[in-house]
Amino acid sequence: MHDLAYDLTLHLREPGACAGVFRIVERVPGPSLPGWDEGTLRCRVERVVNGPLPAAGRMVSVGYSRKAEPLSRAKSSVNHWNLLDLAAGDLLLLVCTPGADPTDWNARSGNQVAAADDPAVAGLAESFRLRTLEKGSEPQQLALLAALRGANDVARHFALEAICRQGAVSRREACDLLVRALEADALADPDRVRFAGGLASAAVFDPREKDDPVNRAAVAGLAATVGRVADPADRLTCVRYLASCVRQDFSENPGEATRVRAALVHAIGPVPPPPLADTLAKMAASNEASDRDRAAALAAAWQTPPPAANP
Amino acid sequence: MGLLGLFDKLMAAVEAIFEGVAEAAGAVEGAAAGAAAGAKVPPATPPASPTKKAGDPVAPCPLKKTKKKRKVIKITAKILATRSLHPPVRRIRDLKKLRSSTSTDATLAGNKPIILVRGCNVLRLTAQTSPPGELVTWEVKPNENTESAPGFTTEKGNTIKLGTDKIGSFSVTATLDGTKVIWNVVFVWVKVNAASTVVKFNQSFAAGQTSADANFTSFAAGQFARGQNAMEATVSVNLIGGGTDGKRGLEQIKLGYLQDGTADTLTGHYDSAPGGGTGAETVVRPGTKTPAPFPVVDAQGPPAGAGEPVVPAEEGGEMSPISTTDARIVQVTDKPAGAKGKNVEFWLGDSPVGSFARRHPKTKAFLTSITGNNSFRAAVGSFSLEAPQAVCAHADISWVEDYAGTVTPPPAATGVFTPAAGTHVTSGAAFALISDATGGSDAFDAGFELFAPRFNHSLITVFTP
Repeated sequence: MHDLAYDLTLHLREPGACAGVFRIVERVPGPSLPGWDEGTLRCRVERVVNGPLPAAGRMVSVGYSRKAEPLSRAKSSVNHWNLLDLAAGDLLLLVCTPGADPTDWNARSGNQVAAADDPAVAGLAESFRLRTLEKGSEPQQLALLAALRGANDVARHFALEAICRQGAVSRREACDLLVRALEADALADPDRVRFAGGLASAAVFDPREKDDPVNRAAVAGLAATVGRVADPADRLTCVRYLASCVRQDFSENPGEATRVRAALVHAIGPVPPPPLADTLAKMAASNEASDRDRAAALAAAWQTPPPAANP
Repeated sequence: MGLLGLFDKLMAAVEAIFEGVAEAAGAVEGAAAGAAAGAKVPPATPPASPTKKAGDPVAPCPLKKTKKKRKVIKITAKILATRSLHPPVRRIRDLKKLRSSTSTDATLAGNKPIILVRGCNVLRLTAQTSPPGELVTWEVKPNENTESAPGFTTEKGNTIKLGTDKIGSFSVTATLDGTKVIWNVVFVWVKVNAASTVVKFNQSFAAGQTSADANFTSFAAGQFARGQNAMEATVSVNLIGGGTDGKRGLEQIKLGYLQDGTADTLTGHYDSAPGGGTGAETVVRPGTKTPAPFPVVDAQGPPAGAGEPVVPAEEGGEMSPISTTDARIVQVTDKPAGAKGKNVEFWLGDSPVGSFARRHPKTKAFLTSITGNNSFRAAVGSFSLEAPQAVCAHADISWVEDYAGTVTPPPAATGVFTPAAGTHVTSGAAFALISDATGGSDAFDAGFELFAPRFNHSLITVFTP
């Protein structure tokens, strides 16, 4: 039997993935190994979010598997079944795949929700919709950007994963979407840091492309994010992302690698802007040797004259 | 004796003469090659003189030579499985025997190499000969590789211990009287670029893992979703395998997330009048109330995939001590290819939870505050699908979650946790390389415990009084 993931969007790509809101009618414990509580949830479908689930009002069976002991259950929370009460009347938002029988469903991701119109339900529905949009099309770009900038946690999470790890858009588009999303005033700092991670990810920053426009835009976007987050710890994380990009092995030729690093940091500006400079100064004086190395590497890149612009 | 019998005897005599000539030629050829290569290890003792053995045919004629041609017929290989850190000594079950070789083909295409992780556990090769027990000469050479060959030491009989510290593809040849068998191997370097590390924390206890009901209060920073875990770390890894492009064998290597709990001081304080007392989260030896020594493995449930390393689980059955495919906590993403081998981005994340009963079982006091932390050591781990019994560790990072906070006592219906102000999740700023000279080491040598009890399973609360 599968674990249940807390991340509602993790299994959307699986064949036959459906989603719905289910009300637990009865929990039926089954035969279990010592220390385990496994069985079946008899549920009534309250709302179909996506896919060919039985219609609202129909009964289905969903298997569950969790630890028997409450303390062990709490400590094994990577399997989200362990954190759910599974009491009669509870509402579960589940992403499922079909089971052996039309009324049997395998839950892959899920969470308890307060109501069938919980914001997570709309976010999951939007995530399924985003998957259907044509790759690279204008509607897809607009919808992804809206999800990144929007207030729905589930849709925003799905959009970021789709861009950075599921190849939903090209590298250039990924960079552009993330930079534009980072410019939104309403974005919370934890999301800014996550988006900064996206700019530094393999989906955007490609060392083979050296100082191409996308890599330069990614580095500039990272530097700008340092100034947009308030918490010094978040600023430090963003500078570490920046350093992880600039310190890549761009070429076996040391001179060429130095040139690329200079070109990248000079895409930020002739000198580090104030919020970034402050963080670099703190890193340079840090007890962490790796942070001192990062600060030194970035300073060295800025001290290298910028390469002449291509004619 | 008829004419036919006389003819047989004559033919046997001629055959014996030719065999003798061939053996003499082989010995000369072997000696010359050994001198030229300068890397061969000759037999520890001179070849034994032909002796009659039980079951040997009895020559009916003095001209008939009874000694059979000596030859090497096979090389077998065995890798020492990763063992437990704490007694009793347990080893990961040998899911797969290493492939043996009877081939004389030196090419990697024609004589498929066994794929192992550079820096892995002791590797022993044994040559089988006919007749058995004849001593062979060993030679190890780079194959489609400019690296120097790994060293080896001769053990008892025809067994050698081969170093695993070199990078790429190599041929191990056992020679005897002009016959040979070649065993090819690739040692894949899991080259962690520690400087590329970025760690990220989620200090918020607001999400669903922090919960309370009438009987329990649970609390955790973060959630098990990428970008939302309490602690996440990303690092670039270059995998360099065999062949001139460094790509041979990479498909057999699995990277994974190794983690041990290194300390647990998590304590619930029951300070509501008139009771009092504490409850200390304690990892115990399975089936006992005896505290287990740290470090303890922090791994989840059943194996993630067929052919992966497994160890016995406390609750019965088996579990994987290294996480490779659970996207909630580990993801290995291909990056654009570099000059040699393959580049990947390794990501790991974790969101540990603390939990206490709301009432002290003896004093009946209510839970009012939490102190203490869980400490962890996480690592980029690996194994070869051709030798899943050998788990390696390449780079590690230590981190801590501090759960300090308060819990609402009655009249509140449930004990709601409020974290103390300040930072709760901390870690080193970068992965540190393990055994840099060999690109990593066996998990045991790196100080990792992979065997039960598990940090997230064999737990009790020790209440005082």
